[in-house]
Amino acid sequence: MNIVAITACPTGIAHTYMAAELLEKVGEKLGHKIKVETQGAMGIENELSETDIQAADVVILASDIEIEGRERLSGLKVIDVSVQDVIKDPDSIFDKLT
Amino acid sequence: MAYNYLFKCTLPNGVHARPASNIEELANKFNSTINIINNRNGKVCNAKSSLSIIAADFRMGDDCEFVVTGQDEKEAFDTLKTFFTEKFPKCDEPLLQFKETMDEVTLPPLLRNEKFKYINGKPVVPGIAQGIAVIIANIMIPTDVATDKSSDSTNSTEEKNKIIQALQSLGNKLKIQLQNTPPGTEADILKTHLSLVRDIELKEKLLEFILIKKLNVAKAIAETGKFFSNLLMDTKNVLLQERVLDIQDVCSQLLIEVYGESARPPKIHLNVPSICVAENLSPQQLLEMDKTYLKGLVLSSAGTTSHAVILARSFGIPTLTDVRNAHHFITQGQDILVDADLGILITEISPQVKRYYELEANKTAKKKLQQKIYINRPAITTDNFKIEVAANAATIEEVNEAFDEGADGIGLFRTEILFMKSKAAPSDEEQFKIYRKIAETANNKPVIIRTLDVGGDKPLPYLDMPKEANPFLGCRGVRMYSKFTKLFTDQLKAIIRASAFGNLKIMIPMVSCLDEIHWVKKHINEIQTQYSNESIPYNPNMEFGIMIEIPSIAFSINQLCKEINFFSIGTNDLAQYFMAVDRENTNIAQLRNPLSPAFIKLLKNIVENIHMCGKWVGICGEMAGQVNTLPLLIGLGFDELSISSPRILETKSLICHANASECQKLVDVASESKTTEDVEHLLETFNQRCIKAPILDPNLIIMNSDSRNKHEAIKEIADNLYVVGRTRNPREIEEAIWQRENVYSTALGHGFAIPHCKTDSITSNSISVLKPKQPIDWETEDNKKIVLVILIVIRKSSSKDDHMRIFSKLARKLMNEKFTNYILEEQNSEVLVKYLKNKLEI
Repeated sequence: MNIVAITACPTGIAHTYMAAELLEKVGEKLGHKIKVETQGAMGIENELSETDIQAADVVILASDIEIEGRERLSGLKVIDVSVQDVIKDPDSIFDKLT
Repeated sequence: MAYNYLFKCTLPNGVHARPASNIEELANKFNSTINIINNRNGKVCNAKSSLSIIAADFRMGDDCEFVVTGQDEKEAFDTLKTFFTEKFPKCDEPLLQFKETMDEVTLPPLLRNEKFKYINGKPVVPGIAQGIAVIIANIMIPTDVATDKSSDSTNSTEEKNKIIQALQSLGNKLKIQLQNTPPGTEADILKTHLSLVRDIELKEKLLEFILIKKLNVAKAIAETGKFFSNLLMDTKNVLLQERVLDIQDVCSQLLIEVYGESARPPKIHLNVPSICVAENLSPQQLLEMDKTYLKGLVLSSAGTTSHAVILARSFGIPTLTDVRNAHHFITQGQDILVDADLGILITEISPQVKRYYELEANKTAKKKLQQKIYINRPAITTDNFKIEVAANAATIEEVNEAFDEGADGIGLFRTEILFMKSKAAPSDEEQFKIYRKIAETANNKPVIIRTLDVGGDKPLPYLDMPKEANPFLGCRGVRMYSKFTKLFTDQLKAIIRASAFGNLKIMIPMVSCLDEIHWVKKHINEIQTQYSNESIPYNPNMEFGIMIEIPSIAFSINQLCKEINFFSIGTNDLAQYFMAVDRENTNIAQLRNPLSPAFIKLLKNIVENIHMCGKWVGICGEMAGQVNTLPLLIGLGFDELSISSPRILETKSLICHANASECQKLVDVASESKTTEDVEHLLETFNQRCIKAPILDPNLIIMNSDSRNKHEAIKEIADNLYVVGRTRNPREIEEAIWQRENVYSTALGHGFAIPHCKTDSITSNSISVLKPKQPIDWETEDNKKIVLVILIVIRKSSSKDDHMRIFSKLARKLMNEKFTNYILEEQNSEVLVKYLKNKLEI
C-alpha cells in the first residue's frame, strides 16, 4: 500500500518523532511504501505534498493535538489513532488498514 | 498659662514603641508638664513616658491634642509644635503588610499525595530543621518569689528604697552593656530595655503598688508587669503586643536585681537537637540557649518584628510563627520537623516525608560539596581575569572561619572591636599578640588590617571625644589620630611588629588628602627606624593602602598613588557621602542605591585611574557581597572583593563561570543608563540569560541511583541539575516535568521513560540520564518497571535550532534495539556520554 502519515504529540519534543520512526520501520517491514510528516517543536518536517497525498491509499493520523493542514486530507481514508497507540503497538495500527 | 495644639495622628501603624520614644526623648528636654490627649478614647498620657504614650493607643486618624504647662512652656510648645507638624508624620515606616489569611501551601510533588500531619506556619527565618519538641510555657515571674508571704513588709519606705535602688543599678548595668555592644539587633534590644527601666510611668506604677497598695517589691513588680502587659495587649496593635515580652523581661531582671540569682527563671537546658515551641520567647531566654542544640523555633504568636525573631534571624535558626495553639498538636519530646522554606510544621513524619527531607538534605550537601572545590581554587573568569576573593573579619574566630570557607585572604580586618571590648584601650603588646596570631593563621595569605575607625557615631567610652552635630562628617578615622597620637602609634607598633610573621598590610580609613597620608607614613617610618636600631624584626615592604570613602579622594588618585600600594573602596560610606544620604536614614534609603548610574560611573572612574597608576584596588562594603551585582563588579575591573565568609565559595564559583568581557559591556551600558531602575532591569536580564553548556555531560548522568519510585527519580534528576549549576530553582523544573507527565505517562515500554519539559528555569538545554539500582514503578497501565530514565529539559526560547534536532534524533534512536541495549549496559558515565554524542551527532 501507499501510505502517508502525520504525527503530532503535545510537547512536540519526543513522541512525535518516535511514532514517526516506528511507523516508518514497521510500515517498510510489512512491505508498504510510507511517508511520515512530523509536526513537532521543529515545525513541520517531511511535509506531505499534494502529489504524495494524491498517490496515497490511506492516511494514518497519529496525533493527540489539532494538526496543521487537516484540509489537505479531505477525500482520503483516514485512520485516527493516538501517538500512544503507535508507540505501544505499531503493528496493530497497520492491521486497521485492511 | 497653658499652651495646647490640636493635630491628627497620621501614622499608619499608630503610635507604637518607636514613634513613642521619639516623642518621649523630645519631651524630656523640658521642665514643663506635657500631656497628650487622645480625643477618640479620652485617654490622657504623659509625653515624658513611652509607656504612657503607648498606652493611650493612638491610631491612625485619631484626633489628638498636646498640652504644655510650666516654666519653659513657650519653648516646649514651639519645639513640639514643629515636631508634630513636620517630623512626626514622617517618623515611621509605611504600613507593614501582614497577610490576613494564610495561603494554602503548595506541597512539592513528592509530598503532594502523601498523607501526613502538618500545620501551616509563617516562615520568618528560612531553613529546614528536625528535632525533638521542647515546649516552653509563657514566661512567668517565678511565683514563689511573687507570693512569698513572709516578705510582706509593712515598711513601705524600705521597699520603696529597694525598688529605686534596683531601677538605678539595672539602668547602669544596661547602659554599660549597651556601650560594649556594637550597633545591631542586640544593641536595639538593650536600648528598648534601658528606656523601659528609665520610664517615669513604670516607676510611678511600682511606687503606687508599694506605697499605696502596700505590696512588697516582688508583688509590686509582678503587678506592674501585669498592668502594662494588659495595657499593651488591649491596644490590639500587633507591634505593641510584641513589646509585652520586653516588659516581662525587664521585670524579670528587676526581680533579680532585688532578690539575686535565686529569682532567675530556670534556664532551658537543651542536650539533643531540639525544636523549641513557645508562644513567644524573651531575647534573654533565646540568648541563653545552647545554639548547637537549638535547631529550630516555633513561636505561635511572635510577630516578624519581635526581638526573638530578629535574634533567630541573626543566628540563622529556621523559625515559624503564627502557628496557632501549637501545643495542642505537639507533645513534649515528640519528633517534629520545621520547614521554614515551605512554611509548615510537620508533626507526623511518615517514611515518605522522612525520605523527602533526606533527599533535600542530600541536595543541599551536594551543592555545598560542589562549591567546596573552590576552597583552594583561585577565582578566574572564563577569559582569564583573576579576582581575589577575601573575607571581612573582626575576630580571630572569624579569621579561622574565613580560611575554612576558602578565602584568598582577609580583605578587611576591623580593629574597632578590639577597642570596644574593654574599659581602656588595648596595649601595644595585647594588639601585637592578636595581629601576630592572625598573620600566622593566614599562612602567608594577605591580611589587611584597618587602623582604628571610630568617631562620633562609633564612640569609644574612654576617649574624650567632643560631641558633634554631624558625626559622619566629623572627626573620625584618620582625622582623630593626631588628637590621640599615642593610641594610634601603639596600634602602629603592634601592626609593624606583627608584620614579621606573615603577609600583613595596613589600611587607613577616612583619608581625604595627601597630608594625612604623609602624617601616617611619618609615624610608620619613625617606628620602623626605631625597630631597626633595636633589631626588632618587621617587614620593611609591608604594603600601605587607604580606604576610598570620601568622594574627593577619587579625584586625587593620580597625585597620591605614588605613596600608596593599594586602595579599597568602602561602598557604604562612599555612597553615603557621594549621594548625600545618611546611611542610617531608612526614610530615604532608596536614594542611596549603589546601582545608580552615577555611582557606577564613579566606581569605573576610580578603578581606571588606579589601574593607570599601576596599583590594585579592592572593594569592601555591602555591595561587594551581593550576588546579583557581581557581574558589575567583575566588569568594573576590581582586583579584589572582600565579603562575608559564607558567601565566598558561591562568589568564587560564579566568577569562574563569568566572562569579564561580557561584564565590561554590561558596565558600559549601565553607567550610561538614565535611571537606577534601568540598571536593575539590565542586571536582571543579564542574570537570567542563557548560559551555554554542553547538552550532554558526565555530571548529568546518575548511575546506581537509590530512587525507589517515580517521584523520587524525578526529584533526584531535577536536584542534580541544581547541584551542577544548570538551574537556580529545581522545584520549577520538577513542576514542569510533572505538568507534562500528567498529560500521559512518558514510559516507552522496554523499561525506558523519557520525561521532558520546556522551561526557562534551565540555563542551557540538557539531557540527563538516571539508572536506578532497582527497577522503578512508573505508574504505567502495564505496570512495567523502568530501568532507565532520560530527562530532556529545554529552554522555552529554543525552537527550530540544532538542539531540537538532537532530541528528535534521540527519540528515533530509542526505537532501535541496538541503541537501547547499549545504553542499558554501559556503566561508565564518560563512555556513555561519548557514545551518545557520537550517535546523536553532537
